[in-house]
Amino acid sequence: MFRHLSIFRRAPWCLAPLGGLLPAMLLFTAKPIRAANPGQEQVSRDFHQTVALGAGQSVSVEHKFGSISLHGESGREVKISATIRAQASSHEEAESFAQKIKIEVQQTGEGMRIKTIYPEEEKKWFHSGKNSSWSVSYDIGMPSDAPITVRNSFGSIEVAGIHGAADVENGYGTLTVRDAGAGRWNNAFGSIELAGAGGNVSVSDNNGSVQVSDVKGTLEVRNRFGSITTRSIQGAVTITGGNSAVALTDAASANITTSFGSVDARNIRGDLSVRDNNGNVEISGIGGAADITNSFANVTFSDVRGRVNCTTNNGRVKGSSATGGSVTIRNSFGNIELDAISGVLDAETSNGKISVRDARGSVTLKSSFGAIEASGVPKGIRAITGNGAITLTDIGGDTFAKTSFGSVSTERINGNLTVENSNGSVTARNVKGDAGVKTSFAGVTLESIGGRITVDNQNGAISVTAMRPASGCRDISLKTSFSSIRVRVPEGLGYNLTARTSFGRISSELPVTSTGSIGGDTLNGTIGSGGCQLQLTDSNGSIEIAKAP
Amino acid sequence: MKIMNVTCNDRDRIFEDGTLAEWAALEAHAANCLLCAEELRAWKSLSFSAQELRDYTESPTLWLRIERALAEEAERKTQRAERRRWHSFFQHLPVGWQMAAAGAFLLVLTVSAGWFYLHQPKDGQRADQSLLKSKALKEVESAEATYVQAIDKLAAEAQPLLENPATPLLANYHEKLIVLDSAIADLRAQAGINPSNAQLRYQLLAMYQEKQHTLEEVLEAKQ
Repeated sequence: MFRHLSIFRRAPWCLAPLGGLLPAMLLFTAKPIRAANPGQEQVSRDFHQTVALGAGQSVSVEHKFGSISLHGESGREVKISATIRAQASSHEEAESFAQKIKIEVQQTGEGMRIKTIYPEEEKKWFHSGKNSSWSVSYDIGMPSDAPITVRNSFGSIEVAGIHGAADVENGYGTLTVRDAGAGRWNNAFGSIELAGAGGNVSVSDNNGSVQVSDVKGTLEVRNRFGSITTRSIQGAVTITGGNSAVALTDAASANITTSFGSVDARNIRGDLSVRDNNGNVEISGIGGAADITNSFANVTFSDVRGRVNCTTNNGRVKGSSATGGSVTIRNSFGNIELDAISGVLDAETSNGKISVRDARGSVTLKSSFGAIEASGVPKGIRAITGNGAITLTDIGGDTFAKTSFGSVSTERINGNLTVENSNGSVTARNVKGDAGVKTSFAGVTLESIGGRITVDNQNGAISVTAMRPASGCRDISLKTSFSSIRVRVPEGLGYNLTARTSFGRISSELPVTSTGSIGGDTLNGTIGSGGCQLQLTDSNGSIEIAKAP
Repeated sequence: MKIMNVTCNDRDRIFEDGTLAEWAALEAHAANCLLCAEELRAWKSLSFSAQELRDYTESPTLWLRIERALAEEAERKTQRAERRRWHSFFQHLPVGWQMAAAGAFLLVLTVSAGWFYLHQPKDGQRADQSLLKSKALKEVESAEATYVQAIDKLAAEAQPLLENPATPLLANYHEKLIVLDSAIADLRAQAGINPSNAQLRYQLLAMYQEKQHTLEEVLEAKQ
C-alpha cells in the first residue's frame, strides 16, 4: 500500500506572496518555463489531433512516463490532447528532445492506435546530462461506447464514462476508473480505484490497495500484497488476496481466498466461502451458506441464514444467530462460543473450551482438554470431552455426557441422562427421564430424578434422591465400593429391596419387610407393596435408605 | 517447559519487570482473557513504537523536517531584519516623500494585482509538476538517501529472520521484499535515465517507504 508523500506537496499558486508581485512583473517571460536553477530549462509542446472512430472500433493507447486521462463523450470522434515536456541543461537541448518525442496515431480496421515513441538513438545522449528528463501526459476524449486497450507504465491512468469493454494494464502509478463498462483492469505497484461498472469486472494488482464499488456484473479481484475493499456488487465476487485486509459489503455471493490479512464480509445475499490463514475472519448478514477455513486467527460469524461450516485451528470461533441450516465447527487449540443456533450443531475442538447457548437443533460437542458448557438445548445433546468439565443446563431431550478427569454437572434435563466419567464427580438435578451414571474415584449426587436410576461407581460415594413419578415406580440400581450409598425414595412407593455390603452397615428409614435369612451385610425385602427393583451394592461402605423430602 | 499461573492482577508487574517465564505465562493467560490480550497487544505495540522513537537517527523524515524548520527559522530572521532596516529607513524620510513612496507602492500593487488577475492560470493550467526542478529533485534524492540508510540498517537486522524464515508469515514477508526490491531496481534504472520525472521519483520513494514498513513489520513479528 502506498502512503501519501505529503512532504512533496506543492503550495497552491494562490498563496503567492504579495511581496513577489513586483519582481514577477519585471521578470515575466512566456515559454520556455524557466526553472529556478539556471542549469535547468524546461520546454513543453502540445499535441492535438481529432480523428473519427467508426462504430464498433476500439481505441488503443501504448504509453509510458506520464499520465493518461480517458473520458467518454458523445459523438464518434477521438480527441487526442497531449503535452510533451522535456527538461535539459539548455533550452536548445530541451527543445530538441521535446521535438523528437513522437506521438503516433494510426487508424486500422480495428480502430485507432495511439503510441508514444521515445527515440532510442536519442536516449544515450538524452541521458548524458543528469538534468535531462521528460514526460508526456495525455487527455483523450472518445466515444463512450468504444472499447479501449491501454498499456501504460510509470504514470497514472484515469478513465471516466467509457462503457465499452476495457483492457487496461498499468504499472507504477494509480489507476482510477469511474462509470465504466465491463473490463479487465490490471495494475502493478499502484492502487486501483473503480467506482461504477456496467458489466463483469476483473481487477488485478500486486502491490497496491484495490477499491471497487457499484459493479452491476460479477467481480474478480486478485491482489498479492495490498488491501481489497469492495462494495455493492450485484454479481458474484471472487477475491484472491494476501498480506492485507479484505473487506466486502453487499454482494450476490462471494468466494474469498487470502492469507495474513483479515476478512470482513457483510450482507452477502447468497453463499460465502472464505479461505484464510493468519487473519481474523468476521462475517455477518449471509443469506446463504457460509464455508470458512482459517488458521492462527479468530473466526466470528453472525446472522447466517444458511449452513455454516467452519474449520480452523489456533483461533477462537464465535458465532451467533445462525438461523438456517446446520452448523459444523472443527477447531483445535481454540475456544468455541456459539449462541442462537437454529439447526443441527456439531462442534469439535481440542484444547479449547466449548460454550453453547440456545441451540435449537440436536447438538454434538466434542473437546479434549477443554470444558464444555451448554444451556438452552431443547432437542438433546451429546457432550464429550477428555480432561474437561461438562456443565449442561436446560436440555430438552436426551443427554449424553462423557469425560474423564473432569466433573459433570447437569440441571433441568427433560429427557434421559447418561453420564460416563472416570475420576470425576457427577451431579445431576431435575432429570425427568432415566439417569445412568458410571464413574470412579469421585462422588455421584443425583437429585429429583424422575426415571430409572442406575449408578455404577467405584471408590466414590453415591447420593440419590428419586422423584415421585406420575404413575407407578422406577427401578433403582446403585453400586459402589469403598464408600457409602445413600438413597432417598418417595414414601408410599413399593420396591423389592436387595442391599448388600461388606464392612459397613445397612439402615433404612422406611419399613422393610424381610423374609428368609437376614445377615449383617445383606438386607433383602420389600418396601411397601414392592414392585420396582431397589438394588444397592457396596463393599466397605454403609448403605442408608431414607425418605425423599 | 511448565507454564506458571498468572492472573490479570499480575499483568502490570510483568509489563514492568516480568521474567521470561512470567511473560510466557501471561501470554498463555491472554489467550483466554480478552482484556489481557488487548492490554498485551497494546503494550507490544507501544514497546515497538518506543523502540522506534529511541532509534530516532533512523527516522527518514526527521532530519528533513529539522533541516526545513531550521531553514524556515533562518529565513524568518532574515526577513525580520530586512523589515527592521526598511522601517528605520522610512522613519528618516520627510513626510512628503513617505506619502509619495506609499502612493507609488499602491500604484505598483494595483497594476500587479490587475496583471495577475488577467494572467492567472485557469483550472488545469496549474504549474506543471511532472518534472522536478533542481530543489525538489535534491529533496527527493535526500529523502531517498535517508530511506536507503534506514532500510540498510533494518535489512541487516531482519536478514537472519528472512534468510531462513521460521514461519509462513516471515516467508511471506520475504517474498514481498523480493517483489519490492525488484520494483525498486526497475524504478532506479528508469530514474537513472529520467531523473527529474516526478512520477518515477515519487513511486521510488513510495517503494522505499513500503520496504521500510515491511522490514519494521518483520522485526515486529520477531518480537
